Amino acid sequence: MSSSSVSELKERHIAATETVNSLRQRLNHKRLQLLDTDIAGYAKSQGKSPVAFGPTDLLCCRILQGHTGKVYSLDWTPEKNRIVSASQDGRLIVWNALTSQKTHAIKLPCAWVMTCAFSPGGQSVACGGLDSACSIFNLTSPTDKDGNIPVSRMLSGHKGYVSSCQFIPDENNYLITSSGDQTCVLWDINTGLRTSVFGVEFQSGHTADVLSVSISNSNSRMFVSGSCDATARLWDTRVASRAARTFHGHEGDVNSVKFFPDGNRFGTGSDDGTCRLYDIRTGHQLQVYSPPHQQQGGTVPDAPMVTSIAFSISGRLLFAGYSNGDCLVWDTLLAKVILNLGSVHNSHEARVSCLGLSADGSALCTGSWDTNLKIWAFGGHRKVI
Amino acid sequence: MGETSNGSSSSSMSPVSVSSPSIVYVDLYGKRRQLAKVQVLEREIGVLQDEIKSLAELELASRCCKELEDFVEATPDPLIAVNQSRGRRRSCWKNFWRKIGSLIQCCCCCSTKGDCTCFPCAKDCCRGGRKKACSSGCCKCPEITCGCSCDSTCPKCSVCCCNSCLCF
Repeated sequence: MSSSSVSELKERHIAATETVNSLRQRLNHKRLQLLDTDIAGYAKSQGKSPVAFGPTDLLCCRILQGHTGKVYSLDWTPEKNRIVSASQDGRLIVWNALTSQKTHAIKLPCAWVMTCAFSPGGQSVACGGLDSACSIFNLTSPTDKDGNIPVSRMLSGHKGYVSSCQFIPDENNYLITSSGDQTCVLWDINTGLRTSVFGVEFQSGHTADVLSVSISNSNSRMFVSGSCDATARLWDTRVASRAARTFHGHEGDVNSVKFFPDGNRFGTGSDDGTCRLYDIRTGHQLQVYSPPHQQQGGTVPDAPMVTSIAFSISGRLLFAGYSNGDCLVWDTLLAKVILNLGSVHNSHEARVSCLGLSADGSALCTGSWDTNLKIWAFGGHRKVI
Repeated sequence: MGETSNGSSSSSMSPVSVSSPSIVYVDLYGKRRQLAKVQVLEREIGVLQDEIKSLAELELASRCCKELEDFVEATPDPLIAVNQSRGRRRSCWKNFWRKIGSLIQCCCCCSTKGDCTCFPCAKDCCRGGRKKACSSGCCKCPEITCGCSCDSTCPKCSVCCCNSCLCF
């Protein structure tokens, strides 16, 4: 009796798999019919002119030196132009981005850090990594006898490395982490407890390591995650049981996700060498950004992987760091590369691992495996109208 | 005669005695896992069917592209040159100056202000031969207490701190 139940289950599994595959094909076919154009096609039909960058329009105006290991992550404050960076040297450094001076250097209890974030108020920083925990440091705390800022809260509970963390906008006491244990977690920093775990039920969420999160600025209940399962997923923090939507298309790990400034779209960067733009309300893949050498179609073996992405404040520019040291500036509307910060004067000498825009959109910071951070700003002329 | 297993947690296998002398082991862990997989697939079927139904009311991609383009056009961007703008965006730039404030306005501030500290002016301040003294910010010593200012070595750490000054 029991053995026939097992064979029945196997038959049900085969039938269900066939049904799922057939429905996915139908869904893809119907979706393709709705993709009457992409962003570049639409922009060309409207007669859009490309953004033209002169050789000195985007310049490296600061070099932040001090880390002695690869820089893995950086984050700006929402105000006052400070940056926190995390490095393989086992430190967080807080920089005054305008003066290049270091205001804090935090030696971490676990050197294997992968991510860092500033709290909205700028008083705390968070970091996480191979210790599977997220540590919070209050920058106003008195230092211990060794001159180190102590951990003010340790958020423990993940069963794998913490790959990314971000504070909820305007909430100094809540943050979201992503993890190698295939889940994302919303934490209450005051209690140190998990408020919600996203994707913990069997196959309710990502099916591989989650590498990146991005919270919407216009609706802080929505966030997207990117994973080694080649998908990005949209979540509502009120519904942890399953993702609101799953976005397919990439052919490799999704290393970086970032909301578009309007809050209704988001971008992704992947090991497959492409960036993509998706619409959260419809699920449409609106654009693929493939570097020129990849545009013949198909997957190019050994193509540089996208490590990190960011949008300019208008969304017109997409910045993407790649594993070969390139940092391409894309015209988002026309899907053209307009500048490569990896080949200009003062470019990084190794992979760009992280990047981010200042809150007012006037500066881009890039972090690299060459141990430096660099700040780029508009160097052209601006006339007051 | 058969028996159900005791479901021991130390083993996923349970003996089932049958009329013949041989014992047949039932992989209960495998059965439960198989059942879970089937349930996940059946749930996925429901989700996919709902999604296919919802496509009937979904707007075309061109509508999303238009919304995106309208947003980009309406939002000033400090990293894009003004001469990329069109006249109809003057009102956007008035809002832009009001919102961004002095951070961008001091494009030519060095003649009137002593310490230019905005990002875009880092190069502009050096035009016409105006050079500022290098701040200690160029020090690459990881110790923030290191106050060296473009010395070749820092006594507090073993690395050579300062390269040639990269600021102003």
